[in-house]
Amino acid sequence: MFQKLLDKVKCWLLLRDNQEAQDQLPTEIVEGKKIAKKLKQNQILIEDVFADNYDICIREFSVSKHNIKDAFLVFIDGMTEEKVISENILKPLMNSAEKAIDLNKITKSIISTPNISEAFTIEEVVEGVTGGKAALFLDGEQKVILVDSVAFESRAVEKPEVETTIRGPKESFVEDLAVNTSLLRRKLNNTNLKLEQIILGQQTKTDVCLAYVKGVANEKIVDEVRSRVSEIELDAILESGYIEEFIVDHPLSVFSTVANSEKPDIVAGKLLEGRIAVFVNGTPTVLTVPHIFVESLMTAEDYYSAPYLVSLIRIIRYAAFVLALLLPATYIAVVSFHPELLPTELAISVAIASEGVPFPKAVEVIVMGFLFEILREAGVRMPRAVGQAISIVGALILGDAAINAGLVGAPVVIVTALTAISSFIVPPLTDAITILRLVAISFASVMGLPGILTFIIGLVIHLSSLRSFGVPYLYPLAPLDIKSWKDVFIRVPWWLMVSRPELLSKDNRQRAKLGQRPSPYRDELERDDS
Amino acid sequence: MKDRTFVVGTAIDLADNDLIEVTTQLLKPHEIGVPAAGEPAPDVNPIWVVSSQGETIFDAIRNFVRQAGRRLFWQYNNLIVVGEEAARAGMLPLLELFIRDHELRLGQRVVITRGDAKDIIGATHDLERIPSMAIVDMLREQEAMGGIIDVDLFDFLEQYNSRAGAPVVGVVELMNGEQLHIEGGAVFKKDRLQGFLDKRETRGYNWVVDGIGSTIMVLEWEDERKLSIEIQRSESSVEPVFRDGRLVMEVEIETEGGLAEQHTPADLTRLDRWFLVEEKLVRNIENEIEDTIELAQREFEADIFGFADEVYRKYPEEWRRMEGDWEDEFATLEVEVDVEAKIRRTFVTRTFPSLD
Repeated sequence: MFQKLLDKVKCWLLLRDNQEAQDQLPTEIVEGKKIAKKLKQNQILIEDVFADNYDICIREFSVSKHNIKDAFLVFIDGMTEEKVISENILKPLMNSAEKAIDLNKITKSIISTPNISEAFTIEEVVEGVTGGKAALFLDGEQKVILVDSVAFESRAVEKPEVETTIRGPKESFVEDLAVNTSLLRRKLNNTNLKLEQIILGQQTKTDVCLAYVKGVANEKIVDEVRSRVSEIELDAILESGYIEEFIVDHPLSVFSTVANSEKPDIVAGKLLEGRIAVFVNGTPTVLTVPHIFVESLMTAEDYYSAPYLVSLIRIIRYAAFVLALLLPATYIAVVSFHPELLPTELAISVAIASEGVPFPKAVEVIVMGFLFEILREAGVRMPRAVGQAISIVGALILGDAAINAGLVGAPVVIVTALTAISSFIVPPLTDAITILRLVAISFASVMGLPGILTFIIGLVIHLSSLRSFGVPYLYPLAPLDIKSWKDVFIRVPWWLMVSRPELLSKDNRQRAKLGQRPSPYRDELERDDS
Repeated sequence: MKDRTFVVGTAIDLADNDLIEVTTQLLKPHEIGVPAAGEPAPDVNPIWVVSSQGETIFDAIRNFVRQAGRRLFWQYNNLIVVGEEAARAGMLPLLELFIRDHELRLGQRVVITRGDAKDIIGATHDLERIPSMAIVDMLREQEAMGGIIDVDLFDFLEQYNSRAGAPVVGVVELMNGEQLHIEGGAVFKKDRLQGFLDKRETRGYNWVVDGIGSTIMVLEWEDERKLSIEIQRSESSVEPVFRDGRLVMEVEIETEGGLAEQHTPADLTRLDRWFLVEEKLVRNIENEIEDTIELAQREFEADIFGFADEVYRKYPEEWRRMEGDWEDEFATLEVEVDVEAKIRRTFVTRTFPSLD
């Protein structure tokens, strides 16, 4: 009887002890713990830290054929290359014929993997292990060898999903930071390319990497980016968007002052103009700063194709931006406030189309715009298999039937469609355009063209107040820098792209040598000169 | 836009009891709809012609609401037809509202008709479903005619307010009582209609005021067969000079064209004949101009060519002296017409297709 009671109390006490141990967070267990001389002590600590983790492997063994020393290896299953561990670590250690052995000897003559580091606290060890390294504990040593044997499944380098091109490189970043930086390194084969590592996120310990070209990037901007990024205190960084929202200059503006790209050639091009890139492990989207407005209207292909068509297309892109922003608003303003602005025949067509439509123009436009946004969202989220159903419903039922039923006029559908297509021409600005379009529509439906003018004035004031890491957002339009216009509305040929944009790269502006314009008679001319 | 209806043409007549009658073409939007692909356009008249009377124009216009139920939308009114009777009584009071109101444009064409303007507005046109548009198109094409005058509200005002003060306005007629048709001009003195110019006289007027873009001159060859010259370019200059203290207007026309058609088998490309044709052309043009000038001096006593403004521009001092009795001065004014005409080309063929 008593025995039973005693057992129960014992049991209860035991449970409470366990409870206490479990209540302690792993990070608290390791805090400030040095590596003990006794192997067993270290092993218990490691087991405590990684308690309830099925994927942790602790391999005990003894070193050399003569079993002179006990050791154990800690690593995470699935993040390490098993072959490396068995061939390059365990086998040589177990088979070595040495009589006396210590860690120095092991690093120097036994373990044959290229990347090896040492750790002196449990905290470092734990971090290394969770990062995919294997930790080798040896009895009697107060340090640990971390063997880099990271290998986990990652996506292959594929074609970009968003920034597609016809001419030029077709690779895009993947989720793995090392692959991404290597893609960049291959474009910029130069020691001036600096890749600084910052680890962010208390829970995620995400690798973040600042990339810039030393000597081209403005040092002040680099310092600013570094300090802004490293000051972030957040438990998790899962995507570069987390960082973007912490480092933008104007968090309340719909215009983002941080650009992003998924293509190594674009990032390389931007670095060479003096920008700074922020890579985040786990996402193919790389941030670049400073970001100016005109950058949104450029594409990588602009720089690869011949400049003439490119320049024309660029101007069309500006026009598309204006259309996407103002077309529905202008339509409302003209039709409901100033119909006399239309040519007679057009006015009659519009009048015909409005005949029998029960709603005011502004309602028609907003409803159609709303429908389009729904369709677009559905198009992005839907499973591939139902894609056709969406297009049939969207095009036939909503578009055609709405007109035939007299719910909306045909011109409104045209306006909505043109606006939608135009807004896809400038992907980086699509977010801002979608929101601002609604603002423009409300201004237009209250005040007509003067309302649109008010909206434009407000927008320009807002845009000119923005800055991205010290560079005015509207640069080189305002402040005016005519020299930089060689790459704004048009793109001049490469032999004329002599200098880099002034505000981005203050010290090292020369990009190409002047006077390289090719001509068939060049040799003869030179001969004449001499 | 839904609660308005488009006015596309307006007619102004005088009615009994000192009232003004305004007749409008209103558009019936549901009946002008674009036909679906493959279907013929519905054969219904998209125009509703409505008349309304009032003491003033605005009074009459406001009375439309009682019949239409929608607000009239005047921005697209592009034609004002004024009846002869109303035009003789004075145009300006009738057009004042159209000039003053912000909804209306000064680009509205003004035309005169012999008889009642509402008959013109009520007529239909087979090609164009909106008849007033047909009239505007006809006026717009006058460049190729020479015998037509295209005047909008602004031009009318400009001529009215000039020193000469004698506007000339286009004329629309109903041929055989139903077919719309444009020809000639109506001469005003200030805003009162004085009389009409026929096709030839209108062209005589257009030569002087540089209103010829292109026109066909029909000449007669020695064997009494016809030939046409297509005038392709014409420039005029009017210059007042004082000769022995007397004012003389020098009118110079420089024009060129091509031999477009000949009914005579004669080889006109022979140089002597070529010059003869040119000479005939010059004489023809000169006659036209002189006849019109005489008509303006004798019959209308209206300075339709705007000689007064030329004099003022060149001799402002003398003009001040003459200003008071310019009417008499104009009636006896000596006008020298000097035409220089060149025939430059014979187009694809050179001579009459059969060899003689």
